[in-house]
Amino acid sequence: MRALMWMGAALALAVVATSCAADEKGSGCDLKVGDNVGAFPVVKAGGAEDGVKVGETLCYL
Amino acid sequence: MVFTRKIDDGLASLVKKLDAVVAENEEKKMFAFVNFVGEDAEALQKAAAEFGEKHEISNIALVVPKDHANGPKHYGIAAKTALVVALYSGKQVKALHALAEDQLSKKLIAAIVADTAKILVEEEEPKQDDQPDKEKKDRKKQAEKKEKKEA
Repeated sequence: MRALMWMGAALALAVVATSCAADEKGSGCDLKVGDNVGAFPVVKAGGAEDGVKVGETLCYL
Repeated sequence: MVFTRKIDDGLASLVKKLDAVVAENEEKKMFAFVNFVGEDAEALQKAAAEFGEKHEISNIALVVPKDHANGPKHYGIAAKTALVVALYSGKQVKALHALAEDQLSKKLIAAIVADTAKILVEEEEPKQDDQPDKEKKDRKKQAEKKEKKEA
């Protein structure tokens, strides 16, 4: 009985570990927690009224 | 910072919630922007603008990256990745969610919103009450010793 309970707990942990991996790594992105984000150019399309005009190119980082 | 290939109700729900979080933390200079990625830059511009107007996004910038097909190359966003949410502070990533298509659920939206706390905590100064109080510890030790002796 005790062995079965431990096996159940181990399986539950494995399921949690798998779902975390799918969220962060499995879907494909080189960025990882702890990495520095690098700047890149974008064109404003809408949203926040932050003084940047729609169509303007800038780096938001 | 969000990258998305798909515009749907799930994205709207996430961006609206993040928009509210940014508004609540305006004083802490919290900032966010959503990158719409895909093949046709002009179509993305139009879709992003429409998305902003339809969902009244007023605190988050909606943009199309120059590398619009997959986002900036150094981020390595795979073609199969539908949504990336990177929460960063001081340019360092503190939390990351990279999802395939149709993985965005209510539960994950809640988790992403909860993760925004990770980039706010560092800006708060530690309270004095949180500092270890040596006197309190000493008194507790003495009381424990006394109890042991009496027992």
